[in-house]
Amino acid sequence: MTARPVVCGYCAREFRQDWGQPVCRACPLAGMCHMVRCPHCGYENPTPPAWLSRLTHLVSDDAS
Amino acid sequence: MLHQPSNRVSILHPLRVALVGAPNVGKSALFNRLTGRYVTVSNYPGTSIEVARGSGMLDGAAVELLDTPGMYSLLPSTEEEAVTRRVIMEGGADVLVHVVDAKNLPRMLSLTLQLAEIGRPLVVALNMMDEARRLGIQVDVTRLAARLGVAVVPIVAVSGEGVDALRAMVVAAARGPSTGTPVYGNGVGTALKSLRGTLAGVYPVDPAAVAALLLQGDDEARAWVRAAEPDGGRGAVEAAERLAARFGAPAPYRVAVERQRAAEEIADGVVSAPRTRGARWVEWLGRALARPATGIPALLLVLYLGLYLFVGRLGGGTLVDWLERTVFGRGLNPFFERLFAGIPSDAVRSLFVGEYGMLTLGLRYAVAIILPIVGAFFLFFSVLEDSGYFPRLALLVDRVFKKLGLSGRAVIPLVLGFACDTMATMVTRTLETRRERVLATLLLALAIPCSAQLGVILAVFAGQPLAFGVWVLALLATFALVGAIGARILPGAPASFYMEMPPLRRPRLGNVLIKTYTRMQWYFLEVLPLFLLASVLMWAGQRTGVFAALVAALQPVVSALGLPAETAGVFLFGFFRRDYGAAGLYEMSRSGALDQIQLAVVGVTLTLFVPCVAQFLMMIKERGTKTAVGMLAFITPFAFGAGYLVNLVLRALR
Repeated sequence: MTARPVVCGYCAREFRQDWGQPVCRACPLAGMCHMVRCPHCGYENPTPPAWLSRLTHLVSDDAS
Repeated sequence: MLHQPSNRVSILHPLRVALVGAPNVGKSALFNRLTGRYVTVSNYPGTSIEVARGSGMLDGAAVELLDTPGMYSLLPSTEEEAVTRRVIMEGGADVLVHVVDAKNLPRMLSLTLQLAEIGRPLVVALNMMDEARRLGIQVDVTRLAARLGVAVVPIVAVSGEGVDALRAMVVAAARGPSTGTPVYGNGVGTALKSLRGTLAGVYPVDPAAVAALLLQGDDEARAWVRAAEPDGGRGAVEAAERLAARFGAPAPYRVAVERQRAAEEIADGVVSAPRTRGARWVEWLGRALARPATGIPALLLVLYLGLYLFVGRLGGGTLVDWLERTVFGRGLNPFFERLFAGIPSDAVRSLFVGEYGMLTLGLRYAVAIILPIVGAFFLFFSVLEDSGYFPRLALLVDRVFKKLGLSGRAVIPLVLGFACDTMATMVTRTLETRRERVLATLLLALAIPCSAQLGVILAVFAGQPLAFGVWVLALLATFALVGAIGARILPGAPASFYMEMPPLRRPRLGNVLIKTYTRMQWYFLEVLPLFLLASVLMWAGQRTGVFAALVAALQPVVSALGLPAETAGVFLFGFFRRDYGAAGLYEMSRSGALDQIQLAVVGVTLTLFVPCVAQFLMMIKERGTKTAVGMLAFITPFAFGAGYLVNLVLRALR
């Protein structure tokens, strides 16, 4: 399954959500924070919890 | 614009056409239109990246089409980009079709130039022309094609408009000459030509593309050179290092700047967009925010409105007041007291309720003081983030940061430090030079308050202009002084900064709320257990007398700063959690235990004081034990020294 794309809040480039994970695993806060690092610029982007993603997907145009 | 074309491509198999481009430019829509029903999607060998392959007929010729993962540059930062690069650099495609978004053409041309360096036949598919037309954007296709030296076809992939012309152009391009190499100025072109001359091996692409990557220090390009050159690539690698060193700035930065300059020259006069009043205003605002004369007053206004009024007054004042006095003062705390009143043991009861009770202190600190302040801060932060302000801030401070041995890129960790210094310390690893990483780590530990600490301090200083002014001045002076001295004494080259500027945009409410919620959830889940644990430690410390002993040990220090004895506890727990210490300061200020001078002294000292335990552990992890302990040994006396100085000066001036 392809991971959901994230648009970086800093450089506006798109990347796959799971790209941030290998870096985040090195952090002592990993598991508690919902941040993924943009591989292009290094900015930490918040990723919504799964239930919120599903909800926003349902109400967005992409759902069709 | 491009150098002389090279040899023709000979094709002994079905023509292989790769669709290349940034994410969301319509590659897949075009792929679906060009291919038949038989499409296979498989992972690229050794990766989890999917590459779609399909077959079709283009102008009577059988072709195999590849839909590659999105890429922004041939110098990859993601595995997706690395896969696409491998497909096109290792001879997996006879013709490249660069799919670009016609609405954002100038931002896309840098990749077109990189693809042209590869020397394969190239066609530019100018997609989403319908949307561009709707926005009134016009592209002079003939002039663009002439400047690029490649065929440019305007298309609408979803409707099929222009796709037949594209089919014909792809086949014609395969039969025609390959593209030439772009020519760059300011020493980059000369360096590339010279490096290209050192490559004698056989490569699946034009050696000019290999030379460009080699000059930028790309590891994979080094491996190609080592495999292809008769001397194992030693000469070429040494030449690349020698040429890169002459730039006086990192080679990827210099190459990116020159390439962007060339892209802008190509786009100049080719693209025309309607200049509505709104668009002109946004364009002007975007530029104004990044220029010192207008950007600094704008930054001060943003800080005043967002941090001081919204976070400090509304979050730290009104919301905290209501939660503390009404929700906890009249509701929850009396309820907890009644609930535990029946417990006969004073020791057990005081663990939950009372002065250091987990519920009446730990929970109250987390929910009534920290949460509303942090929530207001994250809301403000998310609005700025979603508007595209941060890259402009980076450009604005780049000049100042250079004097401190940092580049505009350091804005990312420093801005993130205002959310969480621990996370930001980890992000310092994205900085280019070791010197920059060490300086940014030190400044984060010393002079950047985290969200909770900042919010609480702003709430404490609301209505205390003298203390607030002194605090701001002390932090700015520390940042500038330590940065400037650090830049002089730390060895290493100064850093450079380059980034593509994304457009300024109106923040979307949905985005802002989701980001705020996500950050608040993460923060609260992290902070609540720690606050409860801190209450237990305080309770245990109080019951065993350890707390009193530690406070007594700190007594001479706080006395020297002109502070009451209770502030020793604030410092003690500030190391455990910065925000816990700040919440203690908030409570002391509310009870009127501190005058303006004492507020300024404790605010300055606590902000400069040693980082929290989590941040210190991260400093060890990122910079090594020796550097982290060295920083701690510098910060602790520096913070108390600064507090002592502030006390001395303010009392002398009173």
